[in-house]
Amino acid sequence: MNCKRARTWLLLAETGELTPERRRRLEEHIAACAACERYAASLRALRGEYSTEAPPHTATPPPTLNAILLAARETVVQPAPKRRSVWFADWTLAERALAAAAVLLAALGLTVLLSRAPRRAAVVALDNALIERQVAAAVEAMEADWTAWEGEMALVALEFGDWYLLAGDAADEPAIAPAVFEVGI
Amino acid sequence: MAEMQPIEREWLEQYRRGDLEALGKLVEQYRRPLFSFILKMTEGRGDPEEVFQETWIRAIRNLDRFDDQNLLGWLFRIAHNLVIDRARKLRPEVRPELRTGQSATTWFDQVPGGGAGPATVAADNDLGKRISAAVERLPPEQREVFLLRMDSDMSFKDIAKVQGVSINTALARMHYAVRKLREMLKDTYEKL
Repeated sequence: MNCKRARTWLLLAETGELTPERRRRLEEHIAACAACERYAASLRALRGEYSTEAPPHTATPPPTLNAILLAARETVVQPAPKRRSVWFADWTLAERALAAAAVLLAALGLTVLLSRAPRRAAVVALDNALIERQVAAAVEAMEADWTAWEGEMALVALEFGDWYLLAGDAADEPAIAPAVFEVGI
Repeated sequence: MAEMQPIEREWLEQYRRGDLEALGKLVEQYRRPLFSFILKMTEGRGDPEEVFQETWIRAIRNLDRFDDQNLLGWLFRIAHNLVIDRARKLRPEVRPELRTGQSATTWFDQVPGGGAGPATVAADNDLGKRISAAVERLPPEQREVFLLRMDSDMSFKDIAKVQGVSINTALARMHYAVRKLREMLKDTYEKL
């Protein structure tokens, strides 16, 4: 350890911001370094002799306190910021639609991974009922706090397992073009 | 400097609900450390009572930005900024030799140490008062670190927050302060 680091650690040791291991190493260094030992003694002397000379404690003068309280009366007090109960409450329509699509894709991917039967490369047979239940649950969760939602989202499971995600027009959002998702094996 | 006491949190919450008496209690609770700091940082320059008042008014008007962690530390931060603002306004009064041709790291370095306050009576055998007088002659940012450490028992992590610098900078300023004090006092106190 060099002396520069030791003197920095001396300052941190006073405030309790030094780990026990570093404190041990510091003490070893000071025991072996006369210059740092003198520096440590200086710090102790400064602390011991320094007179805080704090002004005699007096209450806040009335004019000062009145000015503070007047400012407080004129200020609308904001409550302490609270954590939002719904983490997606501030999302836009497009963000919610993308999130719902992501949830569905994740469900689809999980279904594929869990499936043990061999699948054709281009088209995967899906459990329509499972998808419908997942979509319904996702939409229900979104709609519970989606008071401004004006669009529609529908999932259609077609005969061969292809499925389209359709989004109806919201007031400000363009319709999302149908897309075919193909999942490889 | 410790986190807020439970009673202080309670007063703050009462104030948020509109209880001005609770605010008054907080003002008195923090009066001594905050006013002492402001007094020493504005020694001979400006009105410390005015800075104290303005510190609280700013805190009240920006309470929605306070994270409910350490109110006194936040007040110190506001006071620090106010002291800087007032020192900037006093720049034309800076000594001529500092106005031209002298490089300084920041404008803060150009503001001379107080040295004109009531504690600058040198002919005194009280070493504590001599140290106080020497502290007044430190550059403002070093004086501030020294006062926050020695008077308010603030950690360097909190001092860094008050000054808006890294903890390494706060530590370096304390080093320089200690070195300067040793130089100023070595003839009168061999332990330094």
